[in-house]
Amino acid sequence: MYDLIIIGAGPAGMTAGVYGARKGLTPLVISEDIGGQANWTKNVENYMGFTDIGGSELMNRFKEHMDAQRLIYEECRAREVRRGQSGIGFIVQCDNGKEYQSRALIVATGKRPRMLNVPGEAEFRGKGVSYCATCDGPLFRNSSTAVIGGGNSGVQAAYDLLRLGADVHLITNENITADQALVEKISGHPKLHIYEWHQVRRINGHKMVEGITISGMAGDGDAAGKVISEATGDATAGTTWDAFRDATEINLPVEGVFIEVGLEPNSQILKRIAQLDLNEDREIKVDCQCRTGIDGLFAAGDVTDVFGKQIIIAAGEGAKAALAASEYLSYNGV
Amino acid sequence: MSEIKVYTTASCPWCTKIKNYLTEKGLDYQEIDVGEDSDSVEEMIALTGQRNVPVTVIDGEVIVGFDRKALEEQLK
Repeated sequence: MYDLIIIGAGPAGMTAGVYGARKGLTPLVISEDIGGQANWTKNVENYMGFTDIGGSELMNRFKEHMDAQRLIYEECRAREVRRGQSGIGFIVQCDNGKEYQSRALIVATGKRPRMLNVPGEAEFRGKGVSYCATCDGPLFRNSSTAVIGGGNSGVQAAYDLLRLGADVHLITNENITADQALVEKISGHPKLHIYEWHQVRRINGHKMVEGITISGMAGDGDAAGKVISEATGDATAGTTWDAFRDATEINLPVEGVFIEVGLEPNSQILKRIAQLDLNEDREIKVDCQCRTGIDGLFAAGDVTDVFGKQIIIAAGEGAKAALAASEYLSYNGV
Repeated sequence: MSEIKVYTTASCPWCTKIKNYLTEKGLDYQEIDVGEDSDSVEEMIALTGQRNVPVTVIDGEVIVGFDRKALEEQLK
């Protein structure tokens, strides 16, 4: 039995591993990959000590740090967690058929891309529909594309595609909410068409994506409808109009659809842990010491309800979780 | 020795993962950066019927994504 298992090797999990090892524990880190969501960020410009570093490169640095502490790392997907016999500790079941047991557990499983749930999305996944602009963007060089989502990920995807010479239809069902510094990078680009307060109705095609159908958010209260679109009959891309907002469907011919509509927490592996408290977004509720309310079970990073889904915050939360787990184990005579 | 091709893009972390995996196994492979060559995009689509990377082709068998089990099975 391990004293501590950490599930997840993103910023929170790897930092927890390093802090756990430095507390004299022998943590086992279980994860199907190294870096998690941070890998998908092309450029990280707000992790202190690095003015600009690739997300994947930053995670490689984390991995080097983890390796320097000689952490035990098991590359597999954790399927389920259950309580140990007599309610002591935890058993982690993995997709390699093995089970691992520990006295304390830190869950740092992060989040996964949220689906749009529109007709055609599943059918054309991999056939023009992508959840990773970082990976698949270069395949759409000089093509016509749509990016769904106006947060940081969506605007970053739009920026990357514009740099590849693609036409980009940026569609969001509210206003663009990305950081101003990011919005300024794409603002006024001649190949950019922004549709705020619009929703995707369906993704169309035959063997591959050939287009999407969108419409305004009609009946959506006093939402300020704005659109930049050829559909207005006033095809000046890169400009914003007010008050074009109805349910008229607009067909946009695109080859690629990049879905960046947020993330959902990977908290489902704890479904067999009775009385675990999740919030309405299914994030694990934790206190200021990353305790979940279940004896010996801690959680850290984006899978939790902690404010601010940032690499630097996740790393800090991982450190806190490991210190709290160490204290818990010490108190319980380990 | 298996003949291995990997279709990649420069910024794709899963592509890096596959390349590292093959390198750790001491296997030679041909890398095709589909982000730089539109002909190779068409080649990959014709081969796989889809448009995501990474794609690994081992002795003619196609594996889409980083699927460790499928890679190990194919490399037996």
